[in-house]
Amino acid sequence: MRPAIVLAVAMLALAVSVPFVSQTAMLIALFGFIFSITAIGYNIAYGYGGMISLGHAAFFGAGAYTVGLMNRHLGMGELAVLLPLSMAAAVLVALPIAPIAARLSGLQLATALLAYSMLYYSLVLKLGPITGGSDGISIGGLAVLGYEFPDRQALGLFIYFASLALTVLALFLVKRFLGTVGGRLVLAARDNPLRLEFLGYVPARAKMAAFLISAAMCGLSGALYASALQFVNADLLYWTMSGEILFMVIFGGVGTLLGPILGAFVLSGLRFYIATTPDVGIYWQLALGVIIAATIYSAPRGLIHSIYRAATLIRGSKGGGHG
Amino acid sequence: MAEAVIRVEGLSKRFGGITALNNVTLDMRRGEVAFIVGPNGSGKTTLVNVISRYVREDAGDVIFEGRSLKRVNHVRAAQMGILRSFQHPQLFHGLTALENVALSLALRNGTPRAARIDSLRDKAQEALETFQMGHLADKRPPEMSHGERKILDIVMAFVGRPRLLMLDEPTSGVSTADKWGIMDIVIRNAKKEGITLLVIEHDLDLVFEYAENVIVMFQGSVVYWGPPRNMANSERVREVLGI
Amino acid sequence: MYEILFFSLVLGSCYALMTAGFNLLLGVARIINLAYGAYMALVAYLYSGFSESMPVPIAAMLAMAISVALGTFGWIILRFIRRDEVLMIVVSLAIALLIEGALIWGYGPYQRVVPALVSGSLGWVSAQWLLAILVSVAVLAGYYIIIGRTVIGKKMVAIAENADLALMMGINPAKVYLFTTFLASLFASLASLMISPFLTVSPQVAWLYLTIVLSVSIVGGLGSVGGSLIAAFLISFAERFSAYYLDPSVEPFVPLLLIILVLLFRPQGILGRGATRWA
Repeated sequence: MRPAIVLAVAMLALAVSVPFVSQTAMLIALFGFIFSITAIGYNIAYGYGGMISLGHAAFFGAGAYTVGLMNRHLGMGELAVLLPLSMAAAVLVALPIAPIAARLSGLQLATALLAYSMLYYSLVLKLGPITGGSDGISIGGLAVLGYEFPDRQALGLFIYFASLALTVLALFLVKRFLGTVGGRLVLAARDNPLRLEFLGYVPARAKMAAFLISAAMCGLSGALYASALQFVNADLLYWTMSGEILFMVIFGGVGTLLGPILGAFVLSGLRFYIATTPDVGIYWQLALGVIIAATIYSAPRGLIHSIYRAATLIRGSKGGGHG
Repeated sequence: MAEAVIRVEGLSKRFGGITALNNVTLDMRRGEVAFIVGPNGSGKTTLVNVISRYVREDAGDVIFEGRSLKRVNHVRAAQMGILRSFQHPQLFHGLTALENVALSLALRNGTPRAARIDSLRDKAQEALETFQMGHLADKRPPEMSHGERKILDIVMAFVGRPRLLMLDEPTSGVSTADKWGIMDIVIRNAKKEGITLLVIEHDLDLVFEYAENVIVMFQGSVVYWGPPRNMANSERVREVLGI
Repeated sequence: MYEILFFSLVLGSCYALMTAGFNLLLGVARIINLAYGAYMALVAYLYSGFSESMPVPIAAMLAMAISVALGTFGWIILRFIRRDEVLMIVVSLAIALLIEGALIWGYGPYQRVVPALVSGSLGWVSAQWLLAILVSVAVLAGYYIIIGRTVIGKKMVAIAENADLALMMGINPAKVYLFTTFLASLFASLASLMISPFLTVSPQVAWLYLTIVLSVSIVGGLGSVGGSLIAAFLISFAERFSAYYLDPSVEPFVPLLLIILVLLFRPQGILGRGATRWA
């Protein structure tokens, strides 16, 4: 068997056994997997579609608030309904700005999406009676297919395995998508949109599709996040959230399959440590800034490339074999 | 004489104070191989840009297969079969040579977006072989030489089954030995497929060898339009081209 | 009513001043600087911190000296990665986080009072208002004189128009870039000293400043000097009057909405040309 397959099976076995080993390890891995879905989604827009976004918090938040609002106002707790609904909500939020995202680039694009997501942030704060304002919304009575979770433990376990399964599924689908004509069109639209036009294709169409898929995945992970915490607040929509998602992808490796997962685990793990350790909260932004600056300086193509290189070195000149 | 595939009538274009095209009138019949020659800045590329609808004319009209292109943009023109290559190769650098070609094939054939790109592998490989590029199928453009990139650029336009194919200096930056090879393959395949071909070219030896008609341009105007054998009779042409 | 009108004018001129620095970096040095707002917040914090232990004018000058020195040499770093626009966005964002993190670390995540540089008032016009207008107008006028009349200004314009050509004409870009980052830091620092006393300053004020700079710059047309002047006042007036006539809570939406509307319908901005031309 190829070493890559052995490694994948070992990782999967490790992931499945984590909840039975340690509660803390499960919590860290739980958020690792949730943000893996976010980062894989973001990577579709940025890594494959070439759209630098500082506004994906809006889509993550749209998913989270779908759970929060449905729960608060309609008493809805059925995840089998809420999760697909949150994806739809994220797409709906992304739809008005998608044409802009597909046509602009660089600073204009980043600014447009930043402004767009901050509109939602301000809106959620202003519509306090509906959205809970800065206090947020507490979520209760979550269930899946009619089975109501008896305690946090059971809920956490379910979200953990759901996120794990969805991460694997997302990975599989992205790999498949990249192999299709549509997937190659997205890459081509990133590389040379003008050439696509001279082949008779409007590149904005591929970019828009990539952007909406990306938003849907961020929406889904936002809903998982809200369900795991049983809480949402406006911080999820703040631009720093978009920045953190971007940093996960850059840290792990832009435009790679596994890089975003790596980035998501490391950064959400760090965030977990800082959130659960007293008196270090004020260092979060400082730490994040240092990590990103160091990554761009020492491993500009992301950590995953450094790992591949190290693996190739260890295995000697045989090398290769990684996708 | 058969109906013209492409006809331009009284085409004029100015950029600021510079006249890029001055009342240009030309046509090409189906299957014709014509070359545009002229010094730098004589309006050759502008003419190709206007015909491919990337640049709008100030005056005049472009008629493609009996239809005015006044309201047609470059995307639509490409869909209608006006394809081109570029002086600086325009490729998808994250895709392999094979995938570059396969994508062009997919767009031309309207292949479903959900279809795997590999389903076009054989056809794309075949196209690359035709241009003696088969061994480069799995290379990405950054790993290829300038000449190889130029050919790939041409192959991408070629597989789109063009009704009019325009090549902007296909042999610039290529060694003299390779120039003849490239041009030979291009002309041979164009003839085989009956493609109407308009080529911008600096090397007059190539032009004399392959052109059925030559368009000599100078300061935006056509100073000669006709078969290459009569070209050297015109004093104006000799003056413009320095021959 | 007159008060709102005048205050809009005051803030508008501050907006124009701060955006001038951002556009300078963008146009001449090709630096995208998303840490610009955080930098302005840093200036406000330094000044406010110093003013606790020394007279206001000295605190202001000390803060200016430190921040301009930091900015002049700091922003040059970004030039090394200028080839990649996206990378510059990411790196400057990381720098913004660093600055904000440092502010929280050094001063705590609380709101701060930033003292006015001058106290007193003429009727309903406070002296800080007058100072803000005077400084902004004077500095911007000085800037246009530098651009139009001096050798270094002409070199800046030449580099902005065509860096390769300027290089061939024998212009030493290193000096011009250093002068550019110096001017930009000066503008940002002055603008912060002028505008911060009007606001509640917390580390998050960085993003308010950044939003304003980005909206003025984009609404006016990236790199268009005339455009950003118009946009500065347009946005300032739109903010104040929508707050007055509609509801104070709509104020933060104004620059955000304007960014999106402009990028949707006129991506080149009010006075921007189709092709990007800077300075």
